[in-house]
Amino acid sequence: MLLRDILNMPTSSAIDRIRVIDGPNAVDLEREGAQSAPSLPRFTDAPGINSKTALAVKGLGKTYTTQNGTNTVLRDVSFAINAGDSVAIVGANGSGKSTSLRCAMRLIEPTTGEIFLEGRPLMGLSGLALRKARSKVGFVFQKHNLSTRLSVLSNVLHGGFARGCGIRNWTHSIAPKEERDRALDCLDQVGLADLAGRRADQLSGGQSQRVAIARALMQGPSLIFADEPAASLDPKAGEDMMALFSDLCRRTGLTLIVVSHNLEHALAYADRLIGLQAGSVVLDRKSTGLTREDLAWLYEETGA
Amino acid sequence: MSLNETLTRAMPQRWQAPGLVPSLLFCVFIAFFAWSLSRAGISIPDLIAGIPAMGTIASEMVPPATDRLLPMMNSVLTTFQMALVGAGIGIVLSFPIAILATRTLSPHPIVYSATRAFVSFVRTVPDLAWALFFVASVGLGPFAGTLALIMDTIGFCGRFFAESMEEVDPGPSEALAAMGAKRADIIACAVVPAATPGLTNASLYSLEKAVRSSVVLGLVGAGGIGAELAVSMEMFRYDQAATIVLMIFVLVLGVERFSAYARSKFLDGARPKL
Repeated sequence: MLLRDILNMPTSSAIDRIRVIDGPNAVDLEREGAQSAPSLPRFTDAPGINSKTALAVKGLGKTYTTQNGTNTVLRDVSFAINAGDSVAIVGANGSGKSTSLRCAMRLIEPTTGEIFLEGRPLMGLSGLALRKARSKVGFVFQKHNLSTRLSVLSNVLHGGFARGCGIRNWTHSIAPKEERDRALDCLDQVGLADLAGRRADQLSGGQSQRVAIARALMQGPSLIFADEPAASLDPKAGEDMMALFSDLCRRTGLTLIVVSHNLEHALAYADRLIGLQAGSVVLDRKSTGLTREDLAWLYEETGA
Repeated sequence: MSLNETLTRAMPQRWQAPGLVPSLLFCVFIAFFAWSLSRAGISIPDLIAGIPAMGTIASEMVPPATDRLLPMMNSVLTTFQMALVGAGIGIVLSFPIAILATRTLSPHPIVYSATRAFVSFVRTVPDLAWALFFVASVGLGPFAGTLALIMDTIGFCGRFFAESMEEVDPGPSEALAAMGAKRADIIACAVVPAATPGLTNASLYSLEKAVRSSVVLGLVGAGGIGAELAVSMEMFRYDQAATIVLMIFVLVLGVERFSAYARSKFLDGARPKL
């Protein structure tokens, strides 16, 4: 308690304003939050889906059952993200950031909750319908997750699978000309068109991650989910990576949701922050005017 | 907890005394091994008494006979061709079986367990038993031998293909699943490329294994050089037997050299880019 108070003293008013959803003074702060931050989305009842909502999740929860009982990693996570927004999900290790992204795409099946992707529910889908829905979201992981024994161009071509490009997109050697051209365009957008013929294991970390982004662009997505895209890169490459995302989103109008524990990146490149703590949303507001110090409380130990 | 709180130092013991049960089990094992030695019929006097006979056989082996060289070479070729076809068809059939037997790719846990059990069963039956079974069902000759080699290869490759595919990094598969790729796309573009070294190794090893066992299969009438070897030994033509053994040696060595070459080509990352 002592440390937090000392840290928070100079900016306690800012802290109060952002600690709107949870915490000891939730009721007071909610009133204050409503006054000072009118743009604050709240999910008291309906997730407020409208034509501009790219992704809405409501009451998302994930509980693992183990021999030692149950382990709840997400509880009642709700947010709605408008098309064209760039949002950062922040929080300490194990707060459920990556899990919430994976659950939102049902890569991990959520225990409870609803998901609306461009207004359409995702929970009931399976098979082709689920694959089509997933193809709207380009997922970029902390690791590039390329097939390193294949060429760069083949890896980018794999982004076309969900559009129904079949076996011919397995490798660039047999891919149709339009698909090859399209893949090269995607590589061009991340500045790597000169490396299309190279084997993917001969790239640097930053280049590999950019190929992963080109592969996501090949899907023709309307959203990009980026799970710690800069965490395995050196600071310079990480900075370049975030700048590239930001630039891509501005140029193409893509909606970006980035999970990061790098607060500088989150504050610099996202318009809105969603903070998770122990699997719950404890912060959801615009990033303007916030500093690193304002968010230090997110990283404190909880549940002690 | 504050930092200046004294931490308990915990130096691990250099050795830990084994528990009662492991000690007992070890003693039981030693006793069993001693009993096994006595039952294995090891007899130094018999070995010594056998030395002159060994010398006679060895001396009769030189010089190796050359009178039936051409038919023998033909048989060696048949042996190799049986091994090649048996291993080849076996490898192709192993692939879909291995996918069903891969935990991460199998469509259902029941399918996974059933396929695993099938592959284990096929592997447990020795190649000679398969050969006897097929000789009895399809008759003498290379076809029976080839079928036996196919089963043997399925038992081997089915397991090791599945293990190679289970061991690959799940990241690329997850990435393709997140894009909405089909299972077949994921297998072809994420799993198989990453498992290529393991698949290549298992395939080449199964070819070597097929060549070695195809020699023995001839002994039960399943075609190839084995039959020649059996006849030569039974007719005390040790010089002919020597020729056959040398030919087998050259064949096995050749296949192993080829295998080593193919491995280096496939595993060093210098393959053409797909």
